[in-house]
Amino acid sequence: MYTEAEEGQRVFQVAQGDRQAFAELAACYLPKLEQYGTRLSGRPALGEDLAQETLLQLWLEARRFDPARGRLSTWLYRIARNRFLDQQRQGWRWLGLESLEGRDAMPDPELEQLSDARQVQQALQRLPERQRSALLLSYYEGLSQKEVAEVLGLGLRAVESLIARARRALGKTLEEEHARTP
Amino acid sequence: MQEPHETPEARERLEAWLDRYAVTPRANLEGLLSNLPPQEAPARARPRGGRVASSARWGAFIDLWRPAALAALPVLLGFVLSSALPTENSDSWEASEQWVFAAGGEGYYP
Repeated sequence: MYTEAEEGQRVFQVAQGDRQAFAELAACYLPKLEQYGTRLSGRPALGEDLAQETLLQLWLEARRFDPARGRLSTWLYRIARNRFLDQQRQGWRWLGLESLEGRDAMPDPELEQLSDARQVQQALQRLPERQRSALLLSYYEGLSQKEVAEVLGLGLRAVESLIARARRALGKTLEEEHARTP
Repeated sequence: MQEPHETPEARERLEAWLDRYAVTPRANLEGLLSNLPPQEAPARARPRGGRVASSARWGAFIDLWRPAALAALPVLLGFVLSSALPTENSDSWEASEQWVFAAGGEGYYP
């Protein structure tokens, strides 16, 4: 993990066409963006695409990054989310579970958790996108509420409320699912 | 509106569920790095580049004219002052023909 100053320096180098600096940032952010994209869309393949497209945008438009306006991580998550929303607006219909359905041949450790993972994935997909993003960014990606507010373009209180509502709704859904399954 | 408080037990249960949804990253970093397109800064900046070139031209133009304008300033100032100040044969500005005429000095001319 880099400090803000190191990140700013690397982004500046990327803007000058420095592939090594880009490789370092990409190695750090590709897995994080893929995890966020996968959980946001419910589809690993789309998570992968979102992560790659986001980093491609970093490569092409690094000069637009302003370190005074926030951290690189919040800038990248915002790009990833905007791309996801653009794709949704363009008529993507998320099939949601198809990627997990096709993982029956996975190794045992993953198979063991598949049922639980599927339940959580389904419950997350039922949340409104803003609630889902707020929860994913704060819980899985470890962003502070201030950083989540920057990504979503909302105030701090709105984010606090979104996260609380998301947690409540998700908890309720999962409790019900759990009670229904033997 | 006050959000209902999440109990520690509910929080613990929820987080235990969330932790079960692991995502294994599969994206190919090498593939991404080997397929980077050229940054094409000049192409993307072409509309703005026009303005940049234009402002550069104006900059050069102004740079050329600035010393010339500075050199011409005393001459211009002298011309303005010589035409505005009273001419010879007058004791003061107020007593000059121009001043009286401008002030509507009727009867000045016989």
